[in-house]
Amino acid sequence: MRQDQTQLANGLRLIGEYNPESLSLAAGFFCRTGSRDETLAESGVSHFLEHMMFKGTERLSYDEINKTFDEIGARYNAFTSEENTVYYGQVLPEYQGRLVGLLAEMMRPALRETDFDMEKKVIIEEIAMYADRPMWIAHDLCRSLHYGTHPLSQLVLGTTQSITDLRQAQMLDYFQRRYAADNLTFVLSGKYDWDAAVAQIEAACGGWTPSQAGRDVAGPVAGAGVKTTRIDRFQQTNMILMAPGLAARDERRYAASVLAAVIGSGQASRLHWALVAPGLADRAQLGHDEEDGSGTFAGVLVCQPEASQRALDVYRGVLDEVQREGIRADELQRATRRFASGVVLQAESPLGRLVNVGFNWVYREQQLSMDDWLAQLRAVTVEDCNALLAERPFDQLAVAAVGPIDELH
Amino acid sequence: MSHRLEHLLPNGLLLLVEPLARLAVATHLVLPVGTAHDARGAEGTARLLHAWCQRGAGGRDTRALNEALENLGAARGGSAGRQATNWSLTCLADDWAKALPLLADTILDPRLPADEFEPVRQLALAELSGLDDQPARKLGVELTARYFPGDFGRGALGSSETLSAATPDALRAAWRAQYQPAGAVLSVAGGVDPDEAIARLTDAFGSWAGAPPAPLAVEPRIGAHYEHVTASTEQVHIGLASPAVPPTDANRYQASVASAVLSGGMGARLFTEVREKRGLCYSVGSRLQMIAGHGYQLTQAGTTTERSAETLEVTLGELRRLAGSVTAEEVERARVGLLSNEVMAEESTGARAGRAAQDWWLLGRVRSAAEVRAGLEAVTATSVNDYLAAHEPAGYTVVTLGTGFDWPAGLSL
Repeated sequence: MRQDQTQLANGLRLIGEYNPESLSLAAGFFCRTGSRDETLAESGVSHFLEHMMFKGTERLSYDEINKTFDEIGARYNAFTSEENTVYYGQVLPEYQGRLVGLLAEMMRPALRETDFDMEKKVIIEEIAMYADRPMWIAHDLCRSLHYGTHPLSQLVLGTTQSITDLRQAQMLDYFQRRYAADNLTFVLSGKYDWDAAVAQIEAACGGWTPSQAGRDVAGPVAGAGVKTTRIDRFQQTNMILMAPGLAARDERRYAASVLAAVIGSGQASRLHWALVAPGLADRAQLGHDEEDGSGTFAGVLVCQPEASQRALDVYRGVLDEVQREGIRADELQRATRRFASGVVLQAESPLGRLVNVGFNWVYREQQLSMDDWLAQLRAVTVEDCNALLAERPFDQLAVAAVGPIDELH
Repeated sequence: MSHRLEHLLPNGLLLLVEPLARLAVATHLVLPVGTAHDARGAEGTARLLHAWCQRGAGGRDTRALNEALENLGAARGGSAGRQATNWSLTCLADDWAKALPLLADTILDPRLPADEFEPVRQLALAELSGLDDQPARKLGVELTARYFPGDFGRGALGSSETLSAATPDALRAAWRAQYQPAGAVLSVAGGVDPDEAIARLTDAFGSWAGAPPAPLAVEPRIGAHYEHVTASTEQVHIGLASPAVPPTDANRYQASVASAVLSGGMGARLFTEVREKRGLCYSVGSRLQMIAGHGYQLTQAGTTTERSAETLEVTLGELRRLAGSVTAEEVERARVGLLSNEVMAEESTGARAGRAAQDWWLLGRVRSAAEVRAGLEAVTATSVNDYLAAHEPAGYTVVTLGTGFDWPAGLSL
C-alpha cells in the first residue's frame, strides 16, 4: 500500500491509495456538493445534475459517453447524497487512460436543453419509484423531523413539483458555483499509474477555475418526537429513528461507530436480541453517520403493523437501558472484530476502497490506510463509548413511522 | 496463478479449495435442495428451515452460537434458492479454523428448538407481507411463477396458509431428508494451506452421510403468456421471461454476449432505447439467468402508468429486434465488459469461492479463467446472430404489476 497526493494550482486535489495486489483500479471525482448546498428553489438539482453529467459534453454525446464506458469494460456509476456527489468507474489497468480522460471530460458537461427536458422525465420516474418504497418515505420524513429547517433536511431527489419547475439556467448556475476546481477531489485506488494520471488530470483540468464554493457547516438543533404517516397501501410498518451523533472531524466518531454497532449491527447486537430474535421485528438496526459539522445515530425498524407500538417501545427501551448502564467489554470486542473483517473484505476491491479513501479526504483532508483506521477503531475503550452515552444522545430521538397504522407515541 | 484442489469425500460431498495470498477466507456450500423441493401445501419449508438452522447448533443456543461467530468476526450468510440452498461464511484467515466448525454445526447439528419455531414463522410471515411493499421484487416472484407454471415455479416464500400450517416436526423431517452431503459442493478460497484445509473440512464434514432427494425437472413455459397482477403502486412494473440455452450448452457464451448487447451497460440497447432516447423509465434491465439444466432471459422495467404501454412496446421490440441485428462493435463492447467482470470478480475471495461452487453445481466442473476467456473470445457478430436466430423464443411470458395498465393495442406476444 502507498498513499499518493498532489494538488493543482487551481485547487483541484488528487488522492491515491495504491495497492499492488489489485488486478484493477478505480477512479472517481468527488464533488463536495449535495442537497444541503441547494437553495429551496433549486431543490433536487444536485441529483438531476448528476444525471446530466452523463448526457454529454461539447465534444461527446450521451451515447458516446455510455459506449466509451462500455468499450473499456468499466463498472461505473454515480451517486448523490445530502453532502456529496461522486462519479466513479473501475477498469483493468490497461484502460486507466481512457477512464480518467472520460471522467475528466464529463466534469464539464454541455447541459443541453433537449437532454435536460428528456432527463427530467427520468428523474420524475425515479421519484415515482421511491414513492413505492416505505423505507425511503420514512427516511425523508425523519430527516425533516430530526434536522428541522436545517439544510440537511433537504430532499436529495427534490419533489415532482420542484423538478418540473427547475430550469436549465438554474442548473447551470448551480454547476458553476459547485463544480469548481477547488470543490472537486480526484481519487484513485488499486493498481494505477500515478504519474500518468497526474499528467492527464493536469492537462484536462488545469484550466478550470476555483470558486471558493464552501459550505455553511453549522450543525442542526436536533428535533425529537414521533411522526406517524398512515399509508394504507403498504403492508408493513417502516420506521427510521435519528438521534444526534458526532461530526466527521470529531475524534470521538470511532467510539460512536463502535457504540452503534454494539447496539444495532449484526446478529448478536442488543437490538437483534430484543426485537429480531423473538420475531417482533424483521429488522432492527442502528448505525452512525458522520456529516460536515454534525453527525447522526440513524436506526431502522421494520415490523408488522399490529406490532408497531410494542416494537417501538422495545427499541426505545434498548436505547434507554444502554444509556443507563453503558456497554460491556465483550460487546465492544465483538463489534470491533466485525468491523475488522468487514473492512478487509471490502478492501479486496479497489471500488470498495475508493469511497473510503475519497471521503476521508473530503471530510478530513486525511489519508488513512485500512490498518491505521483499524488501529483507531481498536483503540476505542468501553469508557469512550460510555462517555458518549453519558451525554444522553437518545433522549433526543426523532422517529418517523410509515405504514397502515394509527398514530404511534 | 492459483491452483484449486478438488477432493471428493466418501459421503459424496465435493471439496474445492483455492489457496490465495489473502487476509480473508470465504467458504461456500451448495446443497442440492431448494424451495422447489417443498412439498405441495408446504411451500416455504426450505426458507423456514434455513432460518431455523441458525437458532443454535452443536450444543450452543442461538445467542451462544451468534456470539461465537461474531467474536471471531465471522459472517454467516446464504439463502434457500429454487434448486439449491447456499450457506456461506467469511472471516479473517487466522480465524477460519475456529469459525468453520460453527458453520458445520449449523448445517449438521442444528438444535431446531421448538420454542424458537414461532419467531422463525413470524419472521417468514413478515417477509411475505413485506414483499407487497417491494413491487419490483414481487414482480420477479410473480414472473417466475408464470414462467415455470408447474411445481418448480411455486412461491418460494410460501403463503400465509402454508406458513401457518408448518410444524416443527414437519421441518425436522425435511431437514433429515434434505440436509445431506451426496451431490453437495463446498468451496473455500483465500488464505489457507490447501492440505490443512482439506483435513479440516474432512474433520468437520466427513461424518455426515446420506443422499438428498433427486433434483426436480425444470419445466419452463413454451409459448406466449400474459397476466396482470393488480397492486396499488405508483409505478407499473413490467417483466418478460424467455428461454435461452442451458449452462452446459456450447452456445452459452453467445447467450452471455447477446444479453450484454441488450443490457450490459448504459451503452447497451435497452438503456439507450428505453431510457436515454425516450425517457420512459429510471430502471430498465435484462439479465441471463443460468440454473442447472436451463437458461433464461429476464427483463424488467418500472414506469408510471401513462408510459407503461409504450415501455412494454419498446422493450419487447428491442428483444425481438436483436436477432440478426447485432454488430461487431456491440459484440466487442460486450466482450470487454464480460472479460473485465471476470477479472474484477477474482479480486473478491467471496466471489471466487461462490463462483467455483456455482460452476460445479451448474456444469459438474469448474471452468478455468482461460476457458472462460477463450469462450468469450470465440464469439463473433455472426455467431451471436446465428444463435439468436436459431433460438428465437416461441413466445414471451409477460407479467405486469400495478394499477391501470392497458395492454397496447395491436401488440402481439
